[in-house]
Amino acid sequence: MRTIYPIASATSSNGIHVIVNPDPWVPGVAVNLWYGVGSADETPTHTGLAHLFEHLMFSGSANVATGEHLSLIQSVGGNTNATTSFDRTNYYDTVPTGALELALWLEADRLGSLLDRVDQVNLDTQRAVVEEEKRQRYDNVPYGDAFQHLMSLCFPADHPYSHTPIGSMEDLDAATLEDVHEFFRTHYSPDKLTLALSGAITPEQGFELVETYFGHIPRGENPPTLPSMKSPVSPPEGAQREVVANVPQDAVYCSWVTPPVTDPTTDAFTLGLSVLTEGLTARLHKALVVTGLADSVDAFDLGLARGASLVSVVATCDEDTTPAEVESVMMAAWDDFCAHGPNPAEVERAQISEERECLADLASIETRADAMCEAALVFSDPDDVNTYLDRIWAVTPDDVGHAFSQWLDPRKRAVLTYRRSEAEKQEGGQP
Amino acid sequence: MIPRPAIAPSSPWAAPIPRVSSLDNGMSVWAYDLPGQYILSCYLVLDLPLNAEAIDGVGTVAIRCLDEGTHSHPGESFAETLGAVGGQFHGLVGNSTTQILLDVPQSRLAQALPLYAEAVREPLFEADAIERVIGNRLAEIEQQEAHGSAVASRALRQTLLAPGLRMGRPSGGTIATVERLTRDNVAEHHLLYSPRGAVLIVAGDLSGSADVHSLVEEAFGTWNPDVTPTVPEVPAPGTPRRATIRRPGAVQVDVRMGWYGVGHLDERWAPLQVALAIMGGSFMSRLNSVLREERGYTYGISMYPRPFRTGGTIEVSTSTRTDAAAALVDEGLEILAARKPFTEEETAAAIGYLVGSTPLSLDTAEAVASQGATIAAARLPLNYVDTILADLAAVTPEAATAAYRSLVIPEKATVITVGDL
Repeated sequence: MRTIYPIASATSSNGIHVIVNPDPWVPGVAVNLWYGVGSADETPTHTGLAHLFEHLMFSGSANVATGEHLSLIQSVGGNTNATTSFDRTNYYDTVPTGALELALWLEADRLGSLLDRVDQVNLDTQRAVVEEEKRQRYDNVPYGDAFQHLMSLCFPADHPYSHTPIGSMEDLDAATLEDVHEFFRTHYSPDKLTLALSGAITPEQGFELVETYFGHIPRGENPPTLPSMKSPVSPPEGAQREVVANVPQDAVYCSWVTPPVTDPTTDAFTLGLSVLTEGLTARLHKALVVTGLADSVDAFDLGLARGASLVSVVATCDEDTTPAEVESVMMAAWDDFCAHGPNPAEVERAQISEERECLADLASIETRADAMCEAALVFSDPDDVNTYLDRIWAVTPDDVGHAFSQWLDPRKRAVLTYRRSEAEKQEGGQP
Repeated sequence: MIPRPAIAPSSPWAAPIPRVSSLDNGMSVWAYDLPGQYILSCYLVLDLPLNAEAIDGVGTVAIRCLDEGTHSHPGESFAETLGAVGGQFHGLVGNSTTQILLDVPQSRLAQALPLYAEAVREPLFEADAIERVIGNRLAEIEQQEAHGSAVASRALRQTLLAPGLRMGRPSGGTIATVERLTRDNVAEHHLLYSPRGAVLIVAGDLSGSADVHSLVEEAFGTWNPDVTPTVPEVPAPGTPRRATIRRPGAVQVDVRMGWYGVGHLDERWAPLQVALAIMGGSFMSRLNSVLREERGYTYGISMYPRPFRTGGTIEVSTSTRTDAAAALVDEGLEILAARKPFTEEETAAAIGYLVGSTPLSLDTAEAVASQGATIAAARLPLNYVDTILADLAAVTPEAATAAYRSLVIPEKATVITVGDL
């Protein structure tokens, strides 16, 4: 089946790309904003700035006190937060319909006047909070630094994707108020904003409200930042890294640099990775988990947009096996898959499974509005939300085989291995 | 400059109420028709509590083995067949019920229901599959134990509940108990599955489906095992204590604080929810606004209730850099003492949050089915959501303060810290 969410789009007088999905069944509206700026826009000594800046967006603006944005939205039962990734920064406010105008006003106030309020105290507090976030989410969990290793292993040091959005403690410590001001002036303006509304609202109402609340904010001085189209780069030949850490099991990640998410090969990767790793019938599940070599196997495509993306497969090793054994069996199955491709029944199961996951994602207005922003900003087509499943169903077993043999050749893999530290082994030996 | 817009009152909203029917074998069917929700969410809520387990963790292993092959579809042919109709199968073991879940596209419910019933009624439990699932569970437990946050939460729960209670121990078991499990343990546990007192919830856009009741009856109607139900254990409070669990090399300290609390049917439930929202349920809560936004000690701190069918716990959860841990605990406990009663303004904001977020959070089939499962598990009335919203709206600052002070007594705090201390 294909989805049939009605979607209308328009551009405001000052360049905001506005997308509206009317949905009469819900008692609220999801407001979702994507600014086309992420960690890939940071310079090498300013890593983590896009994300630190995202925190400061909640520290008040000309007419909003520190923390007031969050407390106002929450006081009506709404949900508001933000996320920063490699390519974009996302802010969202899901609110009861009666608070829609307030949400738009709050978003417009910080876009129009954030710098009136950012000061050294806000910066220092949010820097400390972000450093705690880094410790909590990345530094204090097993394999929490895997993405940092994968990106720096697979991309050259001067590549925008070679570091992750959380950045480094050194760069966070060094960020100044001037850096923050400069970042805002460069990257935040209406013409760099994609804004989606999903819920109990008509397209006409949506377009008019955005004009009312954002219309007075001038366009940016710099032209909108378009994705920088650097061609995919291969990881350095034979790229390998071994990390010894406090992890419960050895693990091995095999990774490849691939075309960007907008390339048709992405759909073939989605289905191929599903055939290889999803569920009890998946090939690598049978080759690694059923045989007792590994405890789990998983794969992902980071879905990056600017000239390249990254595909990775990871297995955690059973206590009695080594990462080398697991890697060897995994790559033998992978090689076979690249050479012969999947069979039609496998692809059909993967398509059905992808359909279920896609529809489950779109079931909520909050995630649907987010998908609409991605469709508009990354795929340049808001209706991609509806046509995505058509594309998935059009993929053939041959498409999957070709995409894998062209881009995911086992001989060109980069390998990241985690080994349990000796201390962890001794501790793990005493239940 | 555009003036700040006022908030318009919300239009009236009523929680979805299911169409209820029952089968002759004692199973109830709750059908929630939710237009526009294309993925149906099914929850089979079995009247099988955690304390029915002969060995800790057997229930979780049994659920994991259900889709590893059935008498009608042995081995991986079951997963292949279910995958071909887009079904996703999973489950969980709760304190008072065992829940087996299926997600399936609306158009394929009729094909998926018989497979769902097959997995529940006639799993093969082949020895090699069970052995593998046990191995995977052991690895999962090891992974969990490597997270300071999981260690801290487990220790808190164990302390807040009286010793000996099954629900105080990890629901999925420990390395020591899961290691001991055999095929017989798993098969014997499965013999406790019964339709009597069970509720099958089907939520989603049912417009395209034939009569849900008939489909369920066809799949489950002849299921009629002879099972003596297990009486769920009644929770009781443990002895408060402060404990530190050493985790060498950790770069943060995971902190948990807690008290014994109340369940959904206690008269303090509504005012307690309001009080906990004020203290630690939102971004500008008393705890978060000071410990995160003023002090920068933490990425976030929250306080929330965990209700059981009767009784419950009240928990505070956060993490911080090692050198700030002592200050965070001291300042946190001072805030938690709530020396200043809750104000009108705080109460109104918390009520707005709790009441306003409910319609927004019940916007998917999965959310409605999950809420239905909570109602079934706690034996609440079908219109529970509407009645609790009315109760919440009526909470006064005095009632919230009184409920809070009767339960959150500073001297009786349990404090668990896990880190390189």
